Amino acid sequence: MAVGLAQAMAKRAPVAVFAAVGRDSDALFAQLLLVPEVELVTSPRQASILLVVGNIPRTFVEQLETVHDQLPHPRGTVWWHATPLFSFRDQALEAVATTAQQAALGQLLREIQARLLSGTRESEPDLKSDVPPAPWPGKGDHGQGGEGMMGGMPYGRPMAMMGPDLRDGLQLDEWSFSVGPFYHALPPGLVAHVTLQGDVIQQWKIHSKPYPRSLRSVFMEALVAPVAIAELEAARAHDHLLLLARMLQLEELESLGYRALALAAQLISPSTYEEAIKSGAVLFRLLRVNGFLFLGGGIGRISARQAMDFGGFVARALGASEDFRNGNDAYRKLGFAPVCQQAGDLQARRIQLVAEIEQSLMLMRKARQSGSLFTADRIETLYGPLTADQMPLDKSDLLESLLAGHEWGDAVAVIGSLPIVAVVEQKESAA
Amino acid sequence: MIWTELAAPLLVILCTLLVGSYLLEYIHGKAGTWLAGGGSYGFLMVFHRVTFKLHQQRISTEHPDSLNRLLAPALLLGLAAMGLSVVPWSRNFVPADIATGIVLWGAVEVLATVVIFLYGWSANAHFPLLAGYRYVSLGLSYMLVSMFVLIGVALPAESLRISAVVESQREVWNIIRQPLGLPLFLIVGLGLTFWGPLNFASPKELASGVSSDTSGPAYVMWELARRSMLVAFAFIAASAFLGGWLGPVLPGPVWLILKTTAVLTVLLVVGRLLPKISPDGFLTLAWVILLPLAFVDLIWAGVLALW
Amino acid sequence: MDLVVLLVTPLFTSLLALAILLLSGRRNPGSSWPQRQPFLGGGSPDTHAWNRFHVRYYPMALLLIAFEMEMMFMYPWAAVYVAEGIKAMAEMGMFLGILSTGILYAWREGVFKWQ
Repeated sequence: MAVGLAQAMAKRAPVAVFAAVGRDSDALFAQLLLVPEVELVTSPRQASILLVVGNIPRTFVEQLETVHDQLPHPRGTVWWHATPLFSFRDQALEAVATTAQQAALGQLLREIQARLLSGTRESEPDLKSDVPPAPWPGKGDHGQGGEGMMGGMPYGRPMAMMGPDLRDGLQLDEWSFSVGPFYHALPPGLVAHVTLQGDVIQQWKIHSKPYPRSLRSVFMEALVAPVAIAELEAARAHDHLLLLARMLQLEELESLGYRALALAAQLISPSTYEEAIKSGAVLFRLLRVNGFLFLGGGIGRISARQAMDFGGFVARALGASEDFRNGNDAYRKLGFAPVCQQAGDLQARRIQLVAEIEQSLMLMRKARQSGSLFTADRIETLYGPLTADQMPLDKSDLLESLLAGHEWGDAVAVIGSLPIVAVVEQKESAA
Repeated sequence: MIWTELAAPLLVILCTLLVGSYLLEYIHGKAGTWLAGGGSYGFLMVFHRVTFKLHQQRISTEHPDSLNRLLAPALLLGLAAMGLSVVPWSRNFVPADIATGIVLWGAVEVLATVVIFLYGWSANAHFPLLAGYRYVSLGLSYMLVSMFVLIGVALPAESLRISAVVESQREVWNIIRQPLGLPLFLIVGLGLTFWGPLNFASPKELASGVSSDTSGPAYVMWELARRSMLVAFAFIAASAFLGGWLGPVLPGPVWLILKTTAVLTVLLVVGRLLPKISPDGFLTLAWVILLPLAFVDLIWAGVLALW
Repeated sequence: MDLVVLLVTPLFTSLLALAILLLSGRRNPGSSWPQRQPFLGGGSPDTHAWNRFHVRYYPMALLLIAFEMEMMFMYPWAAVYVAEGIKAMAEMGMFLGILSTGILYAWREGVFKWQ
């Protein structure tokens, strides 16, 4: 009876979910954080369900299997907007159809967790074989002999070898590992091989670039025909807010990140623009007060050349005040003036991002009243300038030179502040 | 005699840590939803989450240091209990009224640093070890601030006994006499339990740091130990700066609990509101700004005590 | 008696926590090798985690030890401070001042940077 009570209590807990993010899924992922029944965790050890969001390329199947096996029993997998890459005998494959909304997803996750707890659904077995990764096979009969100092690998993996340190050339152990495509603090799809000395990055090699994203259709439409400025600015603010929410979550500001995501969700349809403006005011007041905009000085400074590659708010954070909306009559009537910072480091980018979101919201409010239209052959987006024949390119190669010498936390924050993914055409419309 | 002097205090301490940690988590969740402007956090939500986690499997890593992996959460909980045992609940009820209570609390803080590092070390996995390594730099920095501030509190009491410190606040609380003391001490509390802005050991960017390879019951125990430490800290802060059990109408223990809850609420809201500081930034902050402020606090307390 | 309580409390609490951990692990299915792999977002490590990395903040730790020794003197000093009066304040003030120059020196030398 006590067991039954404990189980009944456990079934009412929010579902601890580890999200493995695939292609074309940043909008979905942003929605996921707003689902009340879901508690997104940063490590699969604390999750009970692996939620695969968006299609995972075939090259990452092994990594997905690794992450899947790291979840504790009882565990299950749910495929949301994704084609299932593995399945288990005698088990219902939980592939959620494309029309599933957040509420239905929350219900499904709750149901699966309840069934896992009570035992009616079998916990998923391991996908990889149960062998130690680097067994210690010394040469002799009793495991002695073999190469290396220990004559084998006593701690399961090779020993770290010495290497020079960037800071002063001291030769101490450097450890290296590859950080995979499902690490939440990096853009989804980014695989990097990192070499560290202590916690300072010595080398950051990109093995696989992050998945490209697609922009909302209003940006492409603005290239050919006049679109309502309110809609365009709302879409810009939405994209910028998703980046801001990411940065806030990395800074342990989950509540403010939630606010930013809720605000972004309100910017999707015109009927909620009014509420968006009100909640935006609260968010920005909180951000001014809590010192978020004071941190990060001197970290992640990019050069002028690199900033030109980026365009967008990154370039303006370095003082290049080129903004394609400048000089347009409709925008001038709405009172647009370009903002820019000087330093080009992490702090400047944060200040610039917040300033641009506020600016977009202000323009959106005024444009709703005046109903202005806009078209041009170059559009400002989060990822840089968008023209009819050139979409923003992937810029992750820049990270290799930028991150060397940074401490791990600083490096992750810097990556979070740079929109490095490429933009591609939207293939089919997401539900 | 065994009952009144040993078993009853022990029971009180254990219950306080358990109930305190539960309440702390509840206030933390509520502060989060208040600041987020959305979401909900029911009172039983903590219980649901804990019972769920207890049903999960406890995973170990490749070749961990299993002894330390098991011992670290247990030792952290023990340290929190030891720290709480010097707090006076009323004039007559102090579990362990030793003459050097403040020294004991300093020892608890230092040993907590060791234990938290050991937990990260014992996993033999990359993110936990990185997180433990960064935490030690934090641990060594806030130690001095905490000790200077507590010595400042001991000056008017002419004793290192915590019950004497509480008695010395009969006329005026230390938060008014030594205004710098409590804010500095609260920062120490955030660092001791690596909470919020000083979360070096369990941060998002390291996939929850020392806890990134812990699951199930071990995770519950670690988080319980961490929160118990914060509860014990809040009790010490309330005794040293807010007058402990002193107060007009209500009985002593009730006042102590109210003051501790106030301290915890302030800590948790601040923890939700402030962004994380990088280890580099915090090193400079602690040694160049906080430590001189602790000196100023001590000098102020010294001058006032001789007045 | 106080010391007995002080000894028994952490001992009992730690043993209780240890017992809970061990008992909860008994009906545990053991971790398989794929489960034990350290979490790196799907990536894999080249080496095991234990290695000899440089503890870069050791100069700061040396400074900490200097101040810890001062704290050892300040504990009994705090208890007799009011009785001794100005003399005690002057002495500790000098001690603090001398050690503070240590902080200034360390700051100039860049000890508090993460390098």
